[in-house]
Amino acid sequence: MAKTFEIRKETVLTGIPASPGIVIGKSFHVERDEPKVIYEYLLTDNQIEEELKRFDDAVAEVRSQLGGYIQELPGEFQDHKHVLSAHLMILEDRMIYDNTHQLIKSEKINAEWALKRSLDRARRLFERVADSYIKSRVEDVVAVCEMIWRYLAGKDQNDIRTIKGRVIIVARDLSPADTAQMNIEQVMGFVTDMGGRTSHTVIMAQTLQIPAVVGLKNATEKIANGQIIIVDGNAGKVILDPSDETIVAYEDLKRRYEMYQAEIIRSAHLPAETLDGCHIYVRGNIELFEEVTAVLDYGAEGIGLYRTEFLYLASKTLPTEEQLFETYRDLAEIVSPHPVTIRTIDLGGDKFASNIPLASEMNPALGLRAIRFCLKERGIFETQLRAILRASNYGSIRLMFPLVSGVSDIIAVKEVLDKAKDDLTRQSIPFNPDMPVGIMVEVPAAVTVADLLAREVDFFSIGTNDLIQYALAIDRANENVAYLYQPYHPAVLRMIRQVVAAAKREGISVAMCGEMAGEPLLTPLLLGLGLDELSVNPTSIPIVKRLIRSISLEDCNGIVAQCMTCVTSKQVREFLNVKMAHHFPDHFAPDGSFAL
Amino acid sequence: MMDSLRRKFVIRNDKGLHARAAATLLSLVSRYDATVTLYRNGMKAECDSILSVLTLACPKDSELEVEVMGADAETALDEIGRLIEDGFGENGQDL
Repeated sequence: MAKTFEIRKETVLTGIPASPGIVIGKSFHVERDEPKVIYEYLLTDNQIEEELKRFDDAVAEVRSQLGGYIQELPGEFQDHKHVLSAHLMILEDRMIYDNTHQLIKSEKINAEWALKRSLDRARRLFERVADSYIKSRVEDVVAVCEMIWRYLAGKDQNDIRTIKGRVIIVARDLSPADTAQMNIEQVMGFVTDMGGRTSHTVIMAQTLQIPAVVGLKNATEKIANGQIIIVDGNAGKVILDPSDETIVAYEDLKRRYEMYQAEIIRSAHLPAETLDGCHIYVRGNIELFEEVTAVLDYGAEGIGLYRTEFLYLASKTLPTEEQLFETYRDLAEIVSPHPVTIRTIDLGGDKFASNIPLASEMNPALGLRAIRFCLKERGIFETQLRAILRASNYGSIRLMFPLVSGVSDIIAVKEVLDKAKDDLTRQSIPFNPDMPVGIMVEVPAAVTVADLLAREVDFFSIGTNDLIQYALAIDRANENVAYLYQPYHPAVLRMIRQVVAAAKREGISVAMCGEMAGEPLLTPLLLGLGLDELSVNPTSIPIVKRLIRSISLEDCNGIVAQCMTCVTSKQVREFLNVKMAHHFPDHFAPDGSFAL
Repeated sequence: MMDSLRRKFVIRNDKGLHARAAATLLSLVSRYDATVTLYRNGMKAECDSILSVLTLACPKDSELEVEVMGADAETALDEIGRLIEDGFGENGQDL
C-alpha cells in the first residue's frame, strides 16, 4: 500500500557542546513551564463529594508516582531522594491537602482552584521568610501542585517511565528535582534551551558520561516529542529530521568516536612524553573533592589547580580551619606522591559568597577579589593559610596565590604566610617549611614584570581565562564582544612566551592552568613554547596526553616558530588547523574539527 | 487537660531547620503518640506540617522552644532533643 511521507528537510541546531559524545535517538520533552490556565467554577452541593474524590484520586496518583521514583532511584542519588521525600510530605501537608479539601467543601469550588488558593497561601508564608534558601523552597510546593494539576486535567504525566526504551531529554532547563524524577538509565543525552557549561544539566551529563548540548535557545520549539534526533556533544550540534545518509554517517561517526575514546582512555596512564623523550606534566583542574578520582583514573600526575572556593560557597557559614585542613589533607594523601596545587580563595568578582557581605561593584573583575579580598579580610585568609600549612605535612602540597600584579603583592601575602608559619611553630603544630609557593600569572602587569616575580616564587601558573580577558579588554560574558575572546591572539602567544622565558631564566617551573591548556588544537604549540606543566579539566587529560605522545618536541618548536610570525588570530588558527591535520590525521580534519 | 512538656534548644547544624532536617523531624514525631509544637520569635509551627516547620525558618544558632503533649511526650521530647543536638545527623558532611 502506498503511503505518503512528508519529507522534512534536515535541520541543524547549534548550541554549546557541554558533554562529549554522539547519540541518535528519540526525543522526549520534559516540560515544566507549560502554560497553564486554571479556571474557577462553582459546584452544586451534590458535586462536592465527587470533587473531593477527584482530588483524592489525583493525590493518590502523584503519591504512587513519587513513591515509585524513590524506590527506583539508584543509591548514588541520595540528595534527589531527599527532595522527593520532602515532596511526598508536602503532598500530604495539611496546608495543601486539608486546606484544599476544606475549600472545596466550604467555598464549593473546583479542586484546581481550591489547590491554587492553598498554594497562594503557602506562597505568602514563604514570602515572609528572610532566609533566601528556605524562601526558594516554595518551588518544591509549586512542583507538587503542578503534578496534582496535571492529573486533575486528566493529562498523562509526561513521565519518562511511561515510555519504553531510552530517550534524549529535551527541556528548557533542568533542575536537580527534574533529573531526580528521571530513570537515569533511560537517558541517552540532554538537549536544553538554556544553560551554560556549568549548569546542573551539564554536571549531570558529565557525571553520567552522556552527551549534552545546551544553550540552544529554541530546541523545545523546534524538536517535536518522539522525533528522531542526533545529538553531537562534541560539536554542539543537534540534527532534526536527519536524512538516511546523515544517520548512516553519524552512526559511523559515533562508532569511531567511541572506539577512539576507549582507546585514548586505555592509553591515558602512559607517560606524557614526546616522541623525542621530552616529558611534560599533565595535571588536573578540580573544584570538587570527588573529581580527584577521574583525574587519577585518567593518568594525571597530580592536581595543577585546586579551586578552593566551593567550601566557602556551599555553606552559609565560613568553613572552619579544621574542615579546611581535613579536606586538604585527605586530598594530599590521595594524590600523593604527586603534588596538589592549592589556589587560595578567588572570591569576589563574579563569585559571591553568601556569608561574606560584598559591596556590589561596577567592574567586579577589576575589583575587590582574590588576594585583594584576602588581604582585606585577614582573618579568613589566615584561617585558610593555616589549614593549607597544616595539610602540607601530609603528601605534597604547593601553595598558589591568584591575581598577583606585582612584587608588592607577593611581599604582602608572604607576610601573612610567615605569620601563620610562626604561629604554628609556636604552637608546635607540624607543617612543611619548604612547601613550594607560586603565583597565578593572569594580570598583564604580572607578565610585564615576570622577571621580577620569578625571583620571589617557586613556580608560575599561567591562568589564561583571566589573562586573555584582561589583556584583550574583553568581557567574555558579554555576548556582543565574546567573539573577540581569542586564545590565538598573537598578543596572548607573546605573553606566554615572555612568562616562560622569565621563569626559565630564574630556573623555576611554569605551568598553564586556564582552559587554553586543555584545548587539543593548542597542545603542540604549548609544548613548543616550553611550558613544564599543563593543568586541564579531567575529561581533557586523555586526549592531551595522547597528543603529547604522538609528536616530537622538534616538530612543536617548528610550529611555534611559524605561529610567532602570524599577525592575526585568524592566521594562527588557520595555520594550526593545517598543521594539526598534517601531524594528527586521525584526530583533526583540516578545518580544525574532529577528524572522526 | 493533657500534660505538656517544654524545652529550649539551639539549632546546631549549618543549614538550619531546612527541608531535609524538617522532614527528619516530622517522621520522628509521627512515630509517637504526641503533638509537637515549635515556638520561635513569637511564631509557632505544628510538627504535623512540613510547610509549617519550614516557614518558621530556623537558621543555625536560632533558639527554639519545643512543646510536646500526649502519652509519649517525655520520650518524644528526649528523642527530638537528641536529633537537634546531633545537628540532624549532618555534622561533618557539609561539603
